[in-house]
Amino acid sequence: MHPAARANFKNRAVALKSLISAMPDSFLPKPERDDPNIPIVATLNEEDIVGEFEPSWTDAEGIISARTFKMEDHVVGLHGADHDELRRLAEDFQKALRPEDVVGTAFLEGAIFEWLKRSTRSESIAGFADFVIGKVESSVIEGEIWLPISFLRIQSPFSVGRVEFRLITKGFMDDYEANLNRACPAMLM
Amino acid sequence: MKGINEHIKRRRTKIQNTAAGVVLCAAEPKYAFQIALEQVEKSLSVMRFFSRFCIHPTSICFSAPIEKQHPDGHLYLIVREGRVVQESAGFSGGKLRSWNISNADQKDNWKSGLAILDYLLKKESRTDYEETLFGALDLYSNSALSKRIPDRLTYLLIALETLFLKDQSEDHLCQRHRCFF
Repeated sequence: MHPAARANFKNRAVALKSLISAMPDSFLPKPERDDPNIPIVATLNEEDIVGEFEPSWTDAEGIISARTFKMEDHVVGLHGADHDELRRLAEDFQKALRPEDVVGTAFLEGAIFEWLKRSTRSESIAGFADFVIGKVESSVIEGEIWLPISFLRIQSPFSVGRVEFRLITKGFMDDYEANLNRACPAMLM
Repeated sequence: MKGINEHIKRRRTKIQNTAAGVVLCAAEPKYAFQIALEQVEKSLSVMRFFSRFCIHPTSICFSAPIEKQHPDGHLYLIVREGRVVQESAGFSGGKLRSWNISNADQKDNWKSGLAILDYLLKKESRTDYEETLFGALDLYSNSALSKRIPDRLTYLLIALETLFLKDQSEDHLCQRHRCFF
């Protein structure tokens, strides 16, 4: 990434950091509702939660519109127009990344927000661009993505466009099972 | 270990002996999935164009990346005097047919135009006309995924209008059709 772009993104991230503030009451945890009509299928205890719990909110289209984290005893974060700025920063960062098409804006929003959180908490972390690029580099995988197609049977493999269609054979699944027994649970994402 | 065995058993039931669309990717996993999904849906769309599902109006295609197209099913309870006396659940299996592509089918489709569409799919950049053609073909092909005949007709009309209407000033038959239904 060009040094000027790095500096520009850092300035925007620092400006965004200054917008992190205490969340309005509507974003604070609410007391649990004791509604017997809601079936409880599982209960997660503290030991089941890996890492820090970071609540986020979505809008009517399912897009994250607010993110929070705990700062000492307060819940702080970004919402509304401030969160929109986070999204714009992620979109612009995505356009500046080379190679292109390796990461989505949702992932970048998360990485940028993590930098904002750790920086706000005065943790020792890398510079903004290095931190986000590092997150991207460590997340990229190279390989084949197999998407099983329901109710489709083929006699032999063939290609259409950029896709190769192959049969998921018993041998393929046997191999998967053997790998799963060796490496579980790391394989299940 | 028991959990793994149960997991793999469920996976076998769901995906073993079905076809998979395979795409080479170098990206963050969720993004890689989005890229792969887009590519697979495009390829399936052109393949479906040559299938029987696009010929018979009541033949529904259930072939799509798993979890993206659901066969019809049913679930109901029979209640008498406030008590459940019977429950029924299952697939409405009558219209559920696999899409089988033999080597001969694939050869025929290739000769009938799939080779041209395959070439267009692989092109780095397409002309406006090629994009319009793909858009229309995608709509036509996706009509086969619809379970209601009026919806299928709407897809077909929009596909034709995409290709043949000059601009927005011309009357849109599909809009009148939608209002009618």
